[in-house]
Amino acid sequence: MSDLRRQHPLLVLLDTGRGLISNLSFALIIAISLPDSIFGGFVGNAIVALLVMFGLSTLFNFLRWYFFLYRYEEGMVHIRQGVLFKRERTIKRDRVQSMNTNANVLQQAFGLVTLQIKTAGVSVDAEVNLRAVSKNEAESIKAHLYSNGVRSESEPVEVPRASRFLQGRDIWLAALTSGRFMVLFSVVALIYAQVFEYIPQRYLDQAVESLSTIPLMVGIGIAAGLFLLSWALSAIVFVIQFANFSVRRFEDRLEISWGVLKKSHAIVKLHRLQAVVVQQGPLRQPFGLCTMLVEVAGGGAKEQERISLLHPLIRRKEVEAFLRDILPEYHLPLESVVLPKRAMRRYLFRSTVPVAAFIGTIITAFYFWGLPYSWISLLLLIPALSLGLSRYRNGSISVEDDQVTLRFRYVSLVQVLIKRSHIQSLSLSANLFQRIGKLRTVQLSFLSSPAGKNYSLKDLDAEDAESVRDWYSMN
Amino acid sequence: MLEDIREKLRMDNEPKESIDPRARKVWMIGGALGSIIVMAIALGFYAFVTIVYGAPDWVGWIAIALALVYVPWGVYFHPWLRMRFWRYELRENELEIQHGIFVIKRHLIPMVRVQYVDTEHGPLMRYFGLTTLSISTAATKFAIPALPKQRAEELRGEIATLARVSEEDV
Repeated sequence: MSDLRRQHPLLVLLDTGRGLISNLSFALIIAISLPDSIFGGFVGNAIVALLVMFGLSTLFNFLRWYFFLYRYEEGMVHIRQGVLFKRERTIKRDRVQSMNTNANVLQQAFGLVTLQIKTAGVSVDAEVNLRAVSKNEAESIKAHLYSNGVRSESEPVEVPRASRFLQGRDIWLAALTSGRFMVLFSVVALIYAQVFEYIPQRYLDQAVESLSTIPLMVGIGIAAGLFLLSWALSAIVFVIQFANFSVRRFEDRLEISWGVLKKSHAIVKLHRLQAVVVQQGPLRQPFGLCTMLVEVAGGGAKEQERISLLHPLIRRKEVEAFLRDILPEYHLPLESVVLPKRAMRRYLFRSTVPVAAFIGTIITAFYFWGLPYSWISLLLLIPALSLGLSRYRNGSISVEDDQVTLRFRYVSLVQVLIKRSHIQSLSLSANLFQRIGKLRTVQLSFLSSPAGKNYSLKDLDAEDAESVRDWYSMN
Repeated sequence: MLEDIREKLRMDNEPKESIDPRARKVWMIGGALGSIIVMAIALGFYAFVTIVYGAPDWVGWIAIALALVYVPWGVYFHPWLRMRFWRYELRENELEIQHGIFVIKRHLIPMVRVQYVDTEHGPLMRYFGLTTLSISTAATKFAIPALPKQRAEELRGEIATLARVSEEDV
């Protein structure tokens, strides 16, 4: 058992610094609104306002730090906090869903980390959020919380059963195929549009004049340049975010860590793991690359906390071996049931209808305004049909032992591996046409924080669907 | 021939038990109340569009026609069809529920996954002595509407005993 402790005193400065930056504009507004005569003009006012704010927030943060105490012992962490309203909280080992540590650049400079302990509660934030403890302290808290009272600190460090790292070349490959550049491209375009407003009219006129003289190719070149720039930037951001990626398998948990500037470390206890997802984005599929994710019960409400990354980039061929080493509880199916032939036209129909409606609108509108070339929009049918065809071809389900594997495509090709004991309920459904065609939609619901989640496969043959149901049924 | 079509529209192996026939009455009354509201909205729309904005009469008539189509659906067909497909079956280890009209859904809920069982009833349901039984797992929630009060309480008890605490997951 440890005594009651405070976090590292540097927390006061870190918090004050962070607060000041966000309150800078507030101080400036106060400085402007004060009469000039009080502290000798705007500059004087600003200095005084800043000093007062600095003093107040230091005092406030000091009090908060001073009254935040924690204590840990075998399988338990106690927290006592609050200046006026005291709050005490005890967290027991069996309620802990996940423990994360991360450290930003400033924290790294002082050898500090943030330790977050999350429980199965509904709250968005971590139940315990120690924002400035030394690395050793964080390790010691983790060790105490995980130990069951038998293991002592003198016992040798636990060795992982298996581990995987992301190689240098692979991370660039992952970065270039991540597909994030689309988001960044829109950001770059947005910034461009924002800046555009502040360019004086004179320059704008000049630019338009000169633009009208340069050929179309240059315009396309500029767009392509912006595109490439955002691609490169997003790749670099990705690399910084996921460099040093490693995943280690221990007896009862996975430990995943990544990042350079902001080092993150996540622990996923195996019994919290609900499903494994193998995802192939459209950019990665041609190269035979995929991403592996895990769905975990418990954790924050943010999307990135809900699904944890198991591996940012792995070759399709190596998934089998990866699972054998890191998660032998799961396996890729040897064979699976594909969709019946009569399901194809339903898939084609579903993917084409919205596009056809869009084309119809365009053709009507163009006809209305008397614009030519509306038939070009018909070309949109080609990607729509091929997407539908690909969705049909990739849909499959397999039940082997106690694991069901669902494969389907929306845009990315997704393969979901779930254990029978993690499926909360199974639903078969069929609309009028599916009933006539003896087809069923299979839906699997499982727990993924903060609420449930489900995956489904449409238009499976009724008998195959029934056999999945029988596999799930306990009678 | 008609039997053939009926056979096709059904899903095989329906769960055994239907819900209480009094449920249809509750739904019909609910549908009638809904129809009155829909009718009122349509009349309001008619008055608003034609009198306030001076739009042609037929715009308002369309709204009224739509409302008139809704009335038999809400009062008769919907409760009837809903009743027709509602089925449930409690077995030793699992509960199966089927419902839907156009899309028929059938849910299989193992007892070990059940987290809570609740019963609840509104004023209309109480009048007819009916209760809704809702069953929650960690990820999903289902309800059997309109069971006789007695039966619902029995079922709640049965499910609660059958739903053992499972250690293998959350």
